[in-house]
Amino acid sequence: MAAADALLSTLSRQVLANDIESAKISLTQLKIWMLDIPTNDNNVPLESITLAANALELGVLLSVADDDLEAFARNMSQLKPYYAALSARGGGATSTTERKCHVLGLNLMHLLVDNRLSEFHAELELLSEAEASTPYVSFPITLERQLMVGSYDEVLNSRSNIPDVSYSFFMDNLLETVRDAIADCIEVSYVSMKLSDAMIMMKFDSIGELQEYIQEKREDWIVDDSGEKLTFQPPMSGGKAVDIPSMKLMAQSLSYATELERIV
Amino acid sequence: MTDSTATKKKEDSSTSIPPTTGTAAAGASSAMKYPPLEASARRLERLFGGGGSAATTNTTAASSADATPHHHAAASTTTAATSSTSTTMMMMMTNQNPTKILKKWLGASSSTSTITLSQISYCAQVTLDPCGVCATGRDMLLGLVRQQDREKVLLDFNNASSSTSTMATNEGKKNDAKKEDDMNVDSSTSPQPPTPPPAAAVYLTHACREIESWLLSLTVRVLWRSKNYMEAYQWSEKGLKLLDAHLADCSTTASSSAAAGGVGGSGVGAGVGGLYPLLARLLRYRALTLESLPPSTRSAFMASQRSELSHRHTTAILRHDADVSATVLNILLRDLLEGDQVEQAQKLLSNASFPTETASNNQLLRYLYYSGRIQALRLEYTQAYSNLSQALRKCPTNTGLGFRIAVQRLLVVVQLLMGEIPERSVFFGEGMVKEMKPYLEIAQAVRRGDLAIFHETVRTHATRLQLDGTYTLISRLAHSVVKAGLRRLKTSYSRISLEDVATRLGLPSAISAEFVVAKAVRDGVIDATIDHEKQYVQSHDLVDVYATVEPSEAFHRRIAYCLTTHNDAVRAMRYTPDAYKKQLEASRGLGRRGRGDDEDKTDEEKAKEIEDEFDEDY
Repeated sequence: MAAADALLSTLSRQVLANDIESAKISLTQLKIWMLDIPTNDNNVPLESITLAANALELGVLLSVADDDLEAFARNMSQLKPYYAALSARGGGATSTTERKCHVLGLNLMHLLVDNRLSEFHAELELLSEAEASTPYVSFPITLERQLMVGSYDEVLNSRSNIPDVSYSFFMDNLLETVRDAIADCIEVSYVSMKLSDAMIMMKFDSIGELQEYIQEKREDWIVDDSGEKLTFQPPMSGGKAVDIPSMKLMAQSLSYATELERIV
Repeated sequence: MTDSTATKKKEDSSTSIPPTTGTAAAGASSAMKYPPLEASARRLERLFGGGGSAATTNTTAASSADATPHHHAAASTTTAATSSTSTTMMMMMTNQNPTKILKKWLGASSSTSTITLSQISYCAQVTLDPCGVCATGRDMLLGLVRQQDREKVLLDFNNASSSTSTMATNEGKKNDAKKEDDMNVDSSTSPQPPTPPPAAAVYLTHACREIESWLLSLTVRVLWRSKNYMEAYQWSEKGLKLLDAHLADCSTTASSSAAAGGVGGSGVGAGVGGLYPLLARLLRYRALTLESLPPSTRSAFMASQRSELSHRHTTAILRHDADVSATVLNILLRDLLEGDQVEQAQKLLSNASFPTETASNNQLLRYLYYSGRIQALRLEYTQAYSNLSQALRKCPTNTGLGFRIAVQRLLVVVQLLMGEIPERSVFFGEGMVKEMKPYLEIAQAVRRGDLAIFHETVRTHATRLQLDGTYTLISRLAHSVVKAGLRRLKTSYSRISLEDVATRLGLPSAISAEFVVAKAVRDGVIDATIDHEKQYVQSHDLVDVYATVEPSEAFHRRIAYCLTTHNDAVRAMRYTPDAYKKQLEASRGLGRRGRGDDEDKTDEEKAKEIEDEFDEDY
């Protein structure tokens, strides 16, 4: 136990100092120690479980700092049973660790960026009311709401008030997604638009960036000769012979005929 | 035969009426004049020992009624005469499904509303063999109340029945019977010898296990109703242990007893199936009592239960026992949902199959509700909607108001999440008005399309929604509010400035309104274009719906539904002619039915023939 405690303190020091390599080593050592602790046994002392939970949380923070999404996911899934064991032990201050809300908020961000909305909502169910109101967690929740409604400018503005530095990693990813979404919306709803306006809407910093973006991903946007206007492809007008789903209609009519014949 | 039966005091009051006149099994129970619990118990015994009422003809029913007194008397001895009849009974019994018999009987006898513990205890005393397989249960049940209470039950009953007796001839016999019963009770209070004296009560042999578990389940119910939750829970635990022991016994002795076809204390081989509905019942009661316990004790019990329940589920599926598997699945789902473990519940849902055809309607309803709830939480709204509406349709209309309210609430929320506004009449269903009022207000807020008002309404009703468990779902509704608001704006304005859109929808600024409209256009909510310089939204003209394929799609959906219903109905019709023949056989004994039934049958057969011809053509 004492050795594990020492390891934990070294780990936390290293994480705070952003010393990634040595932190990883200490983390693996702690994980080996944790193998001896089952999560569903009621006789295991509370301190060991708390210790294990703390260690894994530091691991999560480490993987965020390291930009390693796989390690992040792995550590999170390892952390879940420990949280469950802690909460099953009973309420009170001992049943949560300080960083729990932080870590849960990071998890929510991760799910949001990956667009795994059903899991996001499932996670939300598991949160209690108190946990949901902490800034760590309420930040992703508000973000999700804004994304659903479509007020993307608020999303982009909220970048300035993230609760913690570790969120910035996810916010960058989110920015990319949001930009793509805005571009999709723009091309459907506007007939034409000035380049400068487009730049503001999509929160690019300069026209050059915008043009790069157009060339990479949006080839069907027509840039005017003078570089002033963007025109988007008009939507296809219907009425062609290809549009009539003839095969489907034939199949439907045949099925009606067979069924009707069967009726006495 | 009447002489031999006259020696048994208890049966006197019943068989003093010649068996041949009271042959119809159902009729005999009323003529026997037992207290209600005991009457049901003896009826079950008759059903199991008599080979089932539906399948037997008149003569076999008479012989079984004759034979049953012999049967009881010969509990420990075998006679050549009775063993042959009993083997025929056994053979008849194995043809019938004991689960079905028990379920029918359970349905008929569960209407006993005011049961007291003393009644249960008394019934246990007179029906269960103290030296038989049900001894433990009997002792437990006897321990519930004191001896005097038990005697009091019998006296009360006889007083009540003699005062309301309709048959005058029975009256004299009733008084005799009362005296005999008093003597009988006295004799049974004496310390029990190892073998029951011939003057004592006649014990059940075939149905003893079932009656024991049934009585235990009744005890649990009475205790729960009187709010002794802890006791009720412990009783249900004990009952389950006993039942498990019986089931283990039964499966090992099944083959041997079937081969021997012996009389005494067996009937095991065919009777195993009868225990399953009672097992399901006990499990259900246990879950019910568990929920009523205070949370601290509850969590301790619950954790140990999950593995046990999943084990039970597997055994139930292996035994093709629809009742227990359905009940256990529902209990597990409820447990997971209470603990908010949506992901795990989803995995359980996808991996376990629910026996939809053979399970009882109540279990099916519960299953539909839970799966609807899980799907709603996982954003699969259309499926959730169909499950919940199906549950609502199949609900019984005169009971279960609480369940209907819960389903209706969830249905309303799912409809809102799908973007439709539910009808106003939904909120004013009978008995539901008060419960549905917060939801009515929320629906109105969604309909207005104003985000600010919506958030305000949600905040006022927040505690109520959390209690209902729908708070998280409602908080997702912001998007629907915007959708509804935009649709209204689009229908009423052909051109509207972005500033106005922002004020109408309760959005913070015109820029965010611009984004919101753009997203809505992309999602296909509205059909419009935005003009950025002049900052307005222009909606397109209405497209003629009939020019698209929409009508044919809608028609196709409805036609497909009608055709599937028709095919299902036709398929269901195929089976009825066969089952009807059996009924016809039985009814010939009781008297001719109307001519019309015969004609219906032949019509059905004609229809079947014609269909077969058509199928052959293809």
